[in-house]
Amino acid sequence: MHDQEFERSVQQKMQELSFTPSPPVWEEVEAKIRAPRKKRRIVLWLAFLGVGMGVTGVLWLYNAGNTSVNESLNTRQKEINRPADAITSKKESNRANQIETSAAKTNDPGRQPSNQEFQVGENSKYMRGKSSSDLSNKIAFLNIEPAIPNTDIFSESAGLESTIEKNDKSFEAISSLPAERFYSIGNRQPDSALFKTVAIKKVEKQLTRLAWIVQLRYGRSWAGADGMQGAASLNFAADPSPSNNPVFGNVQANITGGPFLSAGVLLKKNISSRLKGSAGLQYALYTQKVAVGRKVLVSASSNANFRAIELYEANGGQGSYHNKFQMISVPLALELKPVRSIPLSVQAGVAPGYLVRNKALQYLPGTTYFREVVPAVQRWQLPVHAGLQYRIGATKNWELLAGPFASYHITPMANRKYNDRHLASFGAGIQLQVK
Amino acid sequence: MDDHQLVAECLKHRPAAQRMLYDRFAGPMLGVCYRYTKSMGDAEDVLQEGFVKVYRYLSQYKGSGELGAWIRRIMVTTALNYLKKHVRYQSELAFESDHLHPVSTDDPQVSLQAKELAELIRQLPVGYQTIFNLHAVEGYTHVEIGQMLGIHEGTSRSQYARARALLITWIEKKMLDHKPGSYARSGI
Repeated sequence: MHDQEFERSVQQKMQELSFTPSPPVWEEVEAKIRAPRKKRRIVLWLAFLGVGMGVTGVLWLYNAGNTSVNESLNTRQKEINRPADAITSKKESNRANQIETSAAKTNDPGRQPSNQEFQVGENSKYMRGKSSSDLSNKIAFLNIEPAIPNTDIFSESAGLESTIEKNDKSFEAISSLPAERFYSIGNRQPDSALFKTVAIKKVEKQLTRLAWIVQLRYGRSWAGADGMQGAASLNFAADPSPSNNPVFGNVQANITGGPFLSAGVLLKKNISSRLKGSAGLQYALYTQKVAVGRKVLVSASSNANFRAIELYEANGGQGSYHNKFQMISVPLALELKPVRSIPLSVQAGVAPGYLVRNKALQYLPGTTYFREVVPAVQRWQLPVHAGLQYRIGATKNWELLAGPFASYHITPMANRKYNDRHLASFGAGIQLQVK
Repeated sequence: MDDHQLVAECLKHRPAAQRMLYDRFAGPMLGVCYRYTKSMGDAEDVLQEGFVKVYRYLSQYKGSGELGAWIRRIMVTTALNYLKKHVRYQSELAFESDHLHPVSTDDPQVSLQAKELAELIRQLPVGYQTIFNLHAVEGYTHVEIGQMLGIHEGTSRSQYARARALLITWIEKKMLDHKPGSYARSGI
């Protein structure tokens, strides 16, 4: 039946059937084909971020519980030994040795230390600069034995643990005493287990200290000229020189930097006493100002369908257009405090990110017009950043830091020849750290 | 830019290429959707859904056949799903023999314009319209139509015969109306 003339005729006629869809159809299609991709990417991004943060966190905690604690214990032990060595190297330390020797000979755990012993302590590194009341506290703690009848303070008994926790200040004070002083005053044989318990608790307390950070940055950004020639058809090869004001045909583009803004939430953790690490999520907006002329509407035809396109005159200068690049990134940074006494730290890191929205003008070859293109540049970006942080205020629960920063995107804005332009920014920022 | 280059560009998610693909095929594909539905609004809905699927599954296009034919198959499938999904079509898409029409095997010369013919096809009951489109225009066999619509092959065959007969009657009437002498018969 299908071979019959009627079917052939109908088929031929129906092949000719064509209508022009109304404009909203394409708008709906475009909205739908963009949205799921964005959603999928955001979900993937969040999943990647979650996994990354989770793995980092687990490794971090694992290291804090093992390697870092052990390393810190070693460091602490060295620091403990160091003051005594220093004392013995000095002439006046002879006197201290005599006192310690005499103290060791005295077999009385509850014995009150003499003034001479205080003086020896003041000569040591840890005692220097402490008030006499601090010293009294240390001594008071050392004489804790009567408060815990029938309990050996140098054993790892539960009673001692609880007492130590209740007397946290004294606990820290005793842990900072030189080992020789501690044992000689107490007139007991060294008990490494107690030292270990004391030191572990202190180090663990330091290492598990986390701080939430809200970070705001403002400055200037540069986007190069890549946003102007994202389409493959554009003739950027005519301008091989990397300049922010390239020449397209007979058009001299006038492009300048624009405002930069970023806001993020970070989690900061102590790695050691001078080194901190941070990770989080950040939004950044890079802009670029392009001088343009009038905005004109032209009709473009394709396959008998006409549609209006907005163009900007490239030779003009009456107005301006802002290329905008919005990025969500995961800033990972290390923060080093070079000098303990100065509340200044140096920060550096990377912030892999994705340009969730970006729009820019592109030059239409052979014309004197620019056209807005979305998206304009490649979306995955890897910025490196560095900066300084100075503590301008602090309380027990928060710290406020401020300082300059600079960032540079290693990834180019487009993967094409001559496209060696990169996003960059610099400015100043503030950080509020909540402990 | 030929179809293969266009597909390659679309797969890179280039907006300009996606728009070009739409511009190239939207017109004829709206014609396809128009034949399966009862209004231009419904046809545009099908076109929209169809194009979303086209972009989503474009990576599955192997390039062995014509791109237009591949998109056309997506549009037809989308149209069929649309008919099944929407209540206003469901009652007529029962493929029951409630509305029997005389069967004719005549092959009249179709001298109508494409739009006029499409209008007549759209006046068929939905079941007839669908089977007629699938068999006469798209070239599917009755076995394939049976599988696509979940009906027996024989049902498809009989429905098609009736649709064809009805359409031929209407075409003849329309052609008569076009002749100058037919005015008197139609009372004009």
